[in-house]
Amino acid sequence: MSEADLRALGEEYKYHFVDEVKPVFVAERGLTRRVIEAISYHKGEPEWMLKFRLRALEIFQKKPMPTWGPDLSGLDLDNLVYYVKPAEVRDAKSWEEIPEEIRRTYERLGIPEAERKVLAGVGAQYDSEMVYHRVKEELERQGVIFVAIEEGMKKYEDLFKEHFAKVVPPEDNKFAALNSAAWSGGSFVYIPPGVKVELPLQAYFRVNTPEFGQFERTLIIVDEGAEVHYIEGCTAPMYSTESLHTGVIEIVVKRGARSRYTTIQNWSTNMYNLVTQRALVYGDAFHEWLDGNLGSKVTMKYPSSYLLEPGARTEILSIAFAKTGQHQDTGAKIILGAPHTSGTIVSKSISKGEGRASYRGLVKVLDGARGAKANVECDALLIDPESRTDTYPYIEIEEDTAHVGHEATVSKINDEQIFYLQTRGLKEDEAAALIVRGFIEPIAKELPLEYAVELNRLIELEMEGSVG
Amino acid sequence: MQVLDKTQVEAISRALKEPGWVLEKRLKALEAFARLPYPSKKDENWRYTDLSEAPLEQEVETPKGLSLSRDELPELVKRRLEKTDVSGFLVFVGPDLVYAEVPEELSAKGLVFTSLAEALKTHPGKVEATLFRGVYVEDKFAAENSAFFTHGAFLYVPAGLEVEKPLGVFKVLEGGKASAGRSLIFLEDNAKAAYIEEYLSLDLPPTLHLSATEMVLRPGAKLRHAHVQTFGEGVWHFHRQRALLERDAALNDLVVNLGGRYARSEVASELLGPGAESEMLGLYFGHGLQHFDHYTLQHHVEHHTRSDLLYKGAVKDEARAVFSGLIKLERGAQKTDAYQANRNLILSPTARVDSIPQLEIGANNVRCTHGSTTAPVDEVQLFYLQSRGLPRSLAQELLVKAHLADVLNRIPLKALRAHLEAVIEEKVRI
Repeated sequence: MSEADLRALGEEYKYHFVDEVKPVFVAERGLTRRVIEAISYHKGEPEWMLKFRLRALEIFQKKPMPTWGPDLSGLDLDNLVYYVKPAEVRDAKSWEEIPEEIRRTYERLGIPEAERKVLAGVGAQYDSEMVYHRVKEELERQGVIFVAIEEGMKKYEDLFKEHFAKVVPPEDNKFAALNSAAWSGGSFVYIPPGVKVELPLQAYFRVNTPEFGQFERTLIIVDEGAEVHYIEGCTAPMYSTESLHTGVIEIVVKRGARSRYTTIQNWSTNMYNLVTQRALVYGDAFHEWLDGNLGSKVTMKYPSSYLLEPGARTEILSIAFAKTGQHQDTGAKIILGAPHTSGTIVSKSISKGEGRASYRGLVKVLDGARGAKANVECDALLIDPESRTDTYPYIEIEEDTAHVGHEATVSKINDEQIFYLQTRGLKEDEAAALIVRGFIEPIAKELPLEYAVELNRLIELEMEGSVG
Repeated sequence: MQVLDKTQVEAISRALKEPGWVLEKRLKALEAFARLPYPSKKDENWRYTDLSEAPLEQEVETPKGLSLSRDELPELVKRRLEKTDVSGFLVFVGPDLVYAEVPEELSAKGLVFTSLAEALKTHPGKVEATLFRGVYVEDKFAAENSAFFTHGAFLYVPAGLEVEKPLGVFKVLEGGKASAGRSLIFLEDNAKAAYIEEYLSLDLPPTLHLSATEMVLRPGAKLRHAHVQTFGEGVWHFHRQRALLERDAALNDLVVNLGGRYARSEVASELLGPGAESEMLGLYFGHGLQHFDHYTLQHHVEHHTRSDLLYKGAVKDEARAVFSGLIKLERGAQKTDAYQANRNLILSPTARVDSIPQLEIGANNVRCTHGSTTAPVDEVQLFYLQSRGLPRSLAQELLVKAHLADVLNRIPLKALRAHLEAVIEEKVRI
């Protein structure tokens, strides 16, 4: 990429544009019983769901704000819009059915093209509602379900009820309660036993309304011996006022199944991104979280894997980039609850300017998890003297046959490496960008190609003029 | 029955004939003590600690003015004196300093080693400049100590004086009443000393013990400090210490928890001047229902400072060990080199370990690394030793001792090391 390209990118980051879309319904500000009832009405929900939402609202109102972690004082929960219905068309099966203005947004983001080339299915959410969902026909024939979560609730009620809010109940934390009360949009995914979905399924989340809260909820059930890779991408335009994204992701990975969940969030830097992601992993199954946090003002996200039966395994790869004005409070949790379970966490963070990246994690080995093994590696790179990083790893071990290790390092870019690259003809900031790319390589190489390319481009952009 | 109130604080201060400013500080601490609630599992730093059986509101003992000859000292101390290599020592029994032995030649060179109460009379300026600077009202127990302490040791080493042999404090806890004492160590420029605090008792009914150690190291001063607790059963021990290290000062610190029912050590090193260095070692071995908490802080305030922490321990039976350590770098603490390691051996299915090695880094040109491991005794090593003819239980004892020896080997105080080895030897066989 040439310097001119980089500069052009720097002037207006390409995903932070504003769309000119007129929604068909906008809820009043604040989270009240009335708003919840309106959401439920607009969705034509069964009675039990409305009851669930109202119960969650009570829990939300009772629970205090977290007393730990990043500063959330800029988040005005009473001034947010909790539901915006972008269009009358619901969950189209082809791009042509989507209103022109919204479609243009996704075309600018390159989604339809990607669907044709590299994806097994695509879902797209615009503000509060899913506007598009489609999965390749051959997968549909094999029984793969990939639909908006509202459709999942209505069409597959038994399957839905069996798992919904069982992985992350509303009592879990204040923001899980908030999501449970106000949830709208997200995907419902079911992979039948033994079905292996080779190409990834992708959901794309877009927030356009200012001072808005997006509360998508995704439920993924990977049945015995099945395989799937689900990707979630997030962007929003740059407004001067704060917005909120509070997702809840529930994943059930049954015996012998494999699943991978990839999130790359590049929310604009006025977004509070407070997400609960959890997977229940059963016997000999394997679940992978790949978590990239580049955007947002504050992110609090700790993907967790509960290893519930013997032989369950998990791997959590996490990367965070914090610039001035950003606090990435991210990490991972592994609960090893059965014999011979194992897990790995690899976390890499980069802090630049006055940015702050924190790793917050938990490895817990329950009594009786014989031979359980877990290892955590956290590396932080600090670019500027004002940059900040923290590591808060909790390790709790109730089992005497468990092996648990944790290691973390903090460093700056090595001057000698920069000097060496300069002697080979690279400019100083190019050398720095190359070293940063090398630092995140172990995680970037696990990303789908287009995300890896995007990540590298972003780092080059961010590193430009950052040294010397 | 006496209560923890103003009357008692005044009675303690009167009995010790303290100057007015100390009483004032005590009363301020009492206010904090009264205001602060007892910690619970809801407090982040107490989340793993169950204090429901702790004798928290136990009446605090008052000074009795007891004094003993060397022959009359409690057996526990006499046995230790046979094997120690300290050149001078103070013995506290319950609330009182009962015996002191300080080499003439050191006093002649300006070294002061006496009780706090005595030092307040003979060297008021030096005490006033340092007392409560390290530990005052940081939490409920620090405040309780600052309000109610009945005894303390004061060590002052003048500029340039290098004391080769260690100095020691032996504290014998009598039990039944809460006991609160302090140590204040003040080393002037380029002074050098070693200071060992030992805490001893028989098996006791539930008893609360509060200790605080403050260390002030002026530029270039070098201190080796050891806090060694081998209480009998029944003791609930709350210890807090903080060292203030100025330019080029160096601390070698050791905290040992082997006895008691519960022991908590809050250990902080403040690196306040360039070139300051702190080595922080910890050793613990829990059995039965013992619970040991270690909360450490390596606080790098200035640039070009170093800290190196290693806490190693083992737990068996239903014992629990907690390590929560923080390396904190202020903005501007460039060229810091900080290391933190916690290594645990877990020896029984009902033992438990919690480890939280933490970093808060506000400067970029630094080297900060930490690690934590928890595992059982290595099967391959056990197998090897068994193949050489050792029974499994003996092989296991050997490997536990080897695990703890990593810390012991870094302590040049030979007599102390031998003592700790003997206590560990006893504990592996319990």
